[in-house]
Amino acid sequence: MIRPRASFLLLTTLLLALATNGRAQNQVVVQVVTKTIEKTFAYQDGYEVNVEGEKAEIFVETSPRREVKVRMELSAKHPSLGTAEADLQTIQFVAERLKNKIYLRNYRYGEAGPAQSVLSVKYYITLPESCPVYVKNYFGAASISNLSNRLRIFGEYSQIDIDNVKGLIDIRTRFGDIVGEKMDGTVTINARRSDITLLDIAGSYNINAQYGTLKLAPTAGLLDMNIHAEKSEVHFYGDRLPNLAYTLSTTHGRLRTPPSLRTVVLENTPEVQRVQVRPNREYSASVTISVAFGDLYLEDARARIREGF
Amino acid sequence: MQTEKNQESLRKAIEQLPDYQPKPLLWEQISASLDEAATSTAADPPLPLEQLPQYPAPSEVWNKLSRSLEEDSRLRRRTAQRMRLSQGATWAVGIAASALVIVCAAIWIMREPAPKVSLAYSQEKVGSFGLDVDWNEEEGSFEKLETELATSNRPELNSLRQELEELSAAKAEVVGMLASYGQDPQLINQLGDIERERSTIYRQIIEQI
Repeated sequence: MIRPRASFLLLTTLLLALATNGRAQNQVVVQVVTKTIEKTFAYQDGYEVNVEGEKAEIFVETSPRREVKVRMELSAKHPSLGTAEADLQTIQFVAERLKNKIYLRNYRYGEAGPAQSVLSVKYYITLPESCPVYVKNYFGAASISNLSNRLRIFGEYSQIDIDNVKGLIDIRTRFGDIVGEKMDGTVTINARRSDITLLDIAGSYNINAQYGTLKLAPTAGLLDMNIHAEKSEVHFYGDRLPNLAYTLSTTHGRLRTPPSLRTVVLENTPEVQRVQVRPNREYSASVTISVAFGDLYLEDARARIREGF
Repeated sequence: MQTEKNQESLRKAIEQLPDYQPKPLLWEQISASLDEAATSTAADPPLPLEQLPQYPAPSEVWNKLSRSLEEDSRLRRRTAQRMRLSQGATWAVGIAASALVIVCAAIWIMREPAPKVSLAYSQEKVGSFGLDVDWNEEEGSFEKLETELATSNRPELNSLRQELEELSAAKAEVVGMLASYGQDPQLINQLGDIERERSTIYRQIIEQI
């Protein structure tokens, strides 16, 4: 005779087995064809790497070797192997050096028509940290780390991740969020319909944003910050930095500052709010933020803990 | 050619032959007799050549001769020049060929190798593949609203109208990318985000109309 506990276990096992079997039957096996292109360019001072991706995931990292190493992975997935192979052939690639520019590019053959397979492209690029980089990506994502010279990014529908990048940084994006950590240098960002999160940042910043949420947490290395935002929400986590001089304004939006911060109200009407905070030190970094049709929050430590940084 | 079999014996025999010296005045006597034969004496008749009449050559002959000599010397100069030039050309060709070889060698040494291309095959199990989704199911309502907004041209709605147009264009781009690169889940998520924003704007406009 089966005990009630044992019968319960048996029943559970049977149900799990049936459920797993049912899920396995619903699964589709797809054939994956991957074309890998590998090329190494000898690096010389003055070279620039120019990447033009289309629905590409781009990874840029650095190495001490004086070379630019590229691995491109183009892949096609489809239940039929023949279809996957045929669709893969429609992705074109370029990996060549012309004078002092190393061009990397992928695109679909113009007359190829709609793809039956799911196509994807990945770039793995390793280069010296002093090598200037220009990335243009249409859909996909770009992840860039440890550069120290010049970085320019033009992204559309492309997520942008930047980690530990110094120097001249110029980012333009639409429909693509930016997440940056440990950035330092002269930074210009023009973003439309993109969220911007910048943590542990230093240097000078000029940010223009429309239709996005901005979260900015600077370090003591911040020199100045100018933000013009429209139809956006701005959160500035500068509470741990006493040497910041603020000029904050909102038009048709809320302006919130922590109670501990002594503000000087310059304007307070139903449409416009404008305040100033003088630093308690002679030398200070200036933070100027103006938001139209959106809210501005000068956040305190609790918000920082809530956000997890 | 025949060769002397007893060469040594012959050499010795020649060495043993006696030496004779001519008399001291013999050469002078021979020279004097030759001079005497060359000059005519009164008793001898004059040579016939000396009796022939003498004619000066016409000046054209000398001119022609001079011209031909000049032509000849010019020809010689030209030939020498040509030879010098051809020698120079040979040198130039040699230098150019050497330079070409050096350039080719440099290009070959500094060349970037062609990319290494490889293919790999694998299989994956996915929940579903090739969803046939009609992304334009609700498009009629949006188009109708956009036309209405364009016709009415109300300033208080124009900002929202521009937003709607921007989002509609963005949707078209994502749909285009879905056609070009397949039904990628990431693209479908992006399209979902845009559609949600578009719907919000749509509702805001409807509320204000």
